[in-house]
Amino acid sequence: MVGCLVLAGWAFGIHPLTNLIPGEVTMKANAALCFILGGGALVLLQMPGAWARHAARLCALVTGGIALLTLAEYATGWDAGIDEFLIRDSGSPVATSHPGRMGPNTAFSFVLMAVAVWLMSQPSRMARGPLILGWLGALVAGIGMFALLGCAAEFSLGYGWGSLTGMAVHTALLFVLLGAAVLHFAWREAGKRWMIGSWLTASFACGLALLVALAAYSYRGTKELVEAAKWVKHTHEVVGSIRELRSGLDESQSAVRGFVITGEEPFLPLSEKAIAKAEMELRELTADNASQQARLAALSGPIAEQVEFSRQTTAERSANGFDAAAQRIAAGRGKTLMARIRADLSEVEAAEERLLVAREAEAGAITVRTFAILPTGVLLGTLLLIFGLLRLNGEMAARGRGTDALLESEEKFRMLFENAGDAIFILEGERFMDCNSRALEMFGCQARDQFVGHPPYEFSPPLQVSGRDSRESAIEKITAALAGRPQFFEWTHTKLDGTPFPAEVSLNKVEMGGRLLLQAFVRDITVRKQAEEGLRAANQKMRLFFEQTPMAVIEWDMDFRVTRWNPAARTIFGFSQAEAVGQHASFIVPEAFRSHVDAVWQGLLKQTGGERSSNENVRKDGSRILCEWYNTPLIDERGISTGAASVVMDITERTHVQQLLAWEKSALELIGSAASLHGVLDGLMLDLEKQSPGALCSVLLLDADGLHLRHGAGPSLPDAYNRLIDGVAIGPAVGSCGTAAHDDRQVIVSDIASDPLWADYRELAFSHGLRACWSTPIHGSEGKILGTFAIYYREPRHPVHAELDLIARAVHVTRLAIERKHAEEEIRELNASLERRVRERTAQLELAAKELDAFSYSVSHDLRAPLRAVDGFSRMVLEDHAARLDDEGRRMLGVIRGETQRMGRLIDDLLAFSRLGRQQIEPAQIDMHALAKSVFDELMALEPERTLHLDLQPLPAASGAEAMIRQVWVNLISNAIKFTRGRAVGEIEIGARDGGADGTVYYVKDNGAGFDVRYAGKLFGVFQRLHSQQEFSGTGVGLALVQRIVQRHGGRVWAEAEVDRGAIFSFTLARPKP
Amino acid sequence: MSKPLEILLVEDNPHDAELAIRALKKRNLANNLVHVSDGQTALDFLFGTGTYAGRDDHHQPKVVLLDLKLPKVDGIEVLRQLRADDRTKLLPVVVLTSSREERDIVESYKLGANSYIVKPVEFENFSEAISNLGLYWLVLNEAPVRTL
Repeated sequence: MVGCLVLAGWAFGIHPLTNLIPGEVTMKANAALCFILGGGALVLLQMPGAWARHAARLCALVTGGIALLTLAEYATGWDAGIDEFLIRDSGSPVATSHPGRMGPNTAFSFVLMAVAVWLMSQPSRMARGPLILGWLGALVAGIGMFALLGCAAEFSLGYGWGSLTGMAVHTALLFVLLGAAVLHFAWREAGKRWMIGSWLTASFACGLALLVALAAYSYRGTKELVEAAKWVKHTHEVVGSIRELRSGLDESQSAVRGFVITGEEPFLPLSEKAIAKAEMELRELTADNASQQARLAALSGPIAEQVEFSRQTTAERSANGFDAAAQRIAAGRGKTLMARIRADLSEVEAAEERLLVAREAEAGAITVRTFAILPTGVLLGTLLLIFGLLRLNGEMAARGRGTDALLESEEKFRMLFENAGDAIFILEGERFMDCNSRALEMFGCQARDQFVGHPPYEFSPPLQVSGRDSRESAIEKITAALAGRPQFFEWTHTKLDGTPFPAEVSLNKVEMGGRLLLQAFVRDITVRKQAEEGLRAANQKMRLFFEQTPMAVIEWDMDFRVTRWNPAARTIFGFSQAEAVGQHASFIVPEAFRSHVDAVWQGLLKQTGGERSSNENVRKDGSRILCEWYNTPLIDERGISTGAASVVMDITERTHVQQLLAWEKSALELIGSAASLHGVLDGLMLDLEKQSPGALCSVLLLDADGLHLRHGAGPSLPDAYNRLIDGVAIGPAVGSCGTAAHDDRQVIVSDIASDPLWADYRELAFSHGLRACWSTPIHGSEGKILGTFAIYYREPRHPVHAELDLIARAVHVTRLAIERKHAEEEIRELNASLERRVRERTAQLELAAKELDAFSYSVSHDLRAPLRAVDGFSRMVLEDHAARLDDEGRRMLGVIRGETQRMGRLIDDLLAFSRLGRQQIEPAQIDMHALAKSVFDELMALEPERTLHLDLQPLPAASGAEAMIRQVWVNLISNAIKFTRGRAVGEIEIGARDGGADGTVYYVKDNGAGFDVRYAGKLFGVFQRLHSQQEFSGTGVGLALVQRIVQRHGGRVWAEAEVDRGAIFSFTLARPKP
Repeated sequence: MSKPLEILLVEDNPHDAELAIRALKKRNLANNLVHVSDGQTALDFLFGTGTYAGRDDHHQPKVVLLDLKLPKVDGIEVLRQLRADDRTKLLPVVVLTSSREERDIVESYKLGANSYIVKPVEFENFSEAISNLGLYWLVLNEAPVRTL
């Protein structure tokens, strides 16, 4: 600003601006320009941004250039033409060596400034930058100060070098300021800061400046005083000299007079010499004073005349004696001369006296001024210093108090430092200087010296995730942080073993013990990164899901307006995202469902339900779709609803298919029901019509003659129409159905009005309002046509794909119905005839059984009674009339009785045999071994005279009715006993073996008569005997009974034998169930 | 007053009846025996109805030997009616029949027959069976006290 003012001063010729103190050196235009540039550069440097730095550098360049050129001019005496480039030096009160050219000291200072600004624009470029800067600033300020002092102390070397142009006062002042600014900058750059308060610093600085100014001023004052005193003394000398001259003259006169009188001559030469000397002296003394010189010059004539007179007088006396001399004196010439001289001398003296007064006054003034300012200045300075001292004291006291707390807090900070969760590093320049233990842990180091002295990029992979070179990037960050721009960034570090890990680094400049350091916080963000990665992946998945899911995903705000709308929602509802977002839900809800949807929404908001809903929705094109909604309220962290999210599925198709399936199911159930074919077909058609609104379904069945179609079903067609087409002939152009059956192909007539196939039936169809008919032949499983299935519409219509599919299903189901019902009918008929036959047979059998029963009953009662009478009365004859009978008579009666009794047994056996067929078998486990043994013992007891040997082997248990099986054993064992009668010792063996699937094989083996195996087949017939009654008695029923019992138990019986070698009778029985 | 009635024999077959009476006589058990040959007569006798109207129905036999196969009213029906009437409810009835049919046996016992004897064809067996049962019912059995 000062520069601007000076420039303005030059431009407008305002001298007080160009040279602050009149008579002093002016500030040159170039210097002013340089100040503008230099000051601007400093201001620019305080501003952020690279452009400011570049601009500052440019300013420095220009300034340096001008200054260097100026210096070069001085050095070489060459005029580069820049001195008066801006403004012509319109003369200055003080001579300058070169008009318009700044002083060499000024130029030099500017060069220094330029260098300083250049350095400042690139901080941290040089390790010793701040130091150099400091020196530069100090030098500039020093030169300025020196010049200033020079000005103040009138010390010419201070502000000007030799005869060359000097430095203006304000120039010097500005240099001091600029130098201070550079110093301050350097100080700050070096990371130092003022340890004492700014007020304190200011008061010290002011006090100091004041004292320095006072010193300069007092120096100057003293100097002036001395000068003034010198002049006073000089004046006194002049006055003395005048008086000496006068006394010399007086003395000379007296001496002359004395000689004249006395004739003695010792004094005269002396006074002459004194006069000459005094005059000489006076002239010398007043050499600086022209008026006095003039006066003295005027005096020298009379004085010389006086001296001459004196000499002449003296000579007269000597030569002519007293009288001549006295006469000369008396002539009065000498007296006149003396008077004139005295008057002149008095004038000189008076002038000198006046000078003396003035000079003394001046000296007094200086003294007064100096002595007035000095104590005031000292007082002020002292006050300022005292103030500063008090402040300093206070501050030091405060610090003293703070020291303990400082130590404590330092301890705390040390603890914090060591125990921090983050790794903390201190860096000097770009190298680690210290770190905390967490850092060691984080980087897998054991000791601090693994860090100290190493730069951070040694603990990084060569390249960062961004692809940048770690070293380059690290240096950039460090430089920025050192320049006072704290850095916060993510960084990939590596542990000592080379494992990389993501970290978050915060880099700050700190001053510590006067050093500029960097503090780095490193946080291992592996977990966070993983979480972020997880989150990112989840988000991506979520997004993918949102974008890709075939289900619509919609989010609503609290006003039930769409906030999100995914691509599937567009597909399902037809509205694009742009169209949907912001719309109220009612835009996809048909009127009829609004209240339902509102209820769902309210439930959702209150979080009381509504999570699932199925309702009809409307698409953009107006079509209705059935959707299933899965809703979730969106709740913020305070538990307050913020809206809802819905996932929607278009279940129209699914529902349709389900309905079809349900139709098929109900159709099959209907088919499976007892309903008649017509009933089933009517039901099927009605159900089908529900699936396909507007359709009128019908079935025609092929007549037994294969030439006509009979009515099958047509529940929705007019009855009259059904009646009229019942029995329609199959032919090549008989409507849709007749043609379909004839051509054996699907006949789709979209419009009856125009189709030639309907030519003969058009009126009929029209009269019943039918316009379209699609008919399909129904084939049976053997490929035979069973009939036709037709769908009529009351408007012209062509089937779409889904409808053709529906027709195919309907035809299939109808075919199933027809075939099933036909088959049922056949089965019913077959069953009816079968049942009839069974009933007949059963009746016959029942009759036979009844007759047999009656027969048995009568046999048991009526057949035995006569026998009993025969036997009883024979006995009575023998008892009462034995005496009248001879032996032959008694024998004959005995025969009668024997045969009667045999007849009784025969009847009993036969009855038992017939009872067997009717008896129920309730199987139980039978201990066959015990049973066989007891039967044998009982039978043995009846034959006491026989010698029998039984070999009874262990018999496994069997399953059967014990009473019956006992009969089996009785019959077989008694047979064995009977047929071994011829043997001395009857050998009977009873045993068993495993019969595989038949169960157990039991056998009775004897050594008896045996039989011829050729007749083995006859053995088990009733009344079949292989031996004569004479050989072995028996009814011939026993083995038949055995066979019947065994067969009724599901077993079989057989015999092996050899005549006279014995027989083996075997039978099988099931094993008991476990 | 005659000797107390001891046996009522209900038997349609005269030969069987003769054989039975003969067997009982041999043991001297047929002294007070009444023989009827059909079910209705048996009922009339016991209830004092029909041909036996006026008969003191307090005077009942010690045992009834009842054939099952009878003309008019069969033995099962007779038994049922006897058991249905207070006067004859406790009367010992021995079913004496040729039938070995189980249904007859079961039915008889169901209706409260005191014994069931199958008439054997052999005379010895028959007479033994008859005499044993006469002995049992007439001599050994203690009839319940009459309260009527």
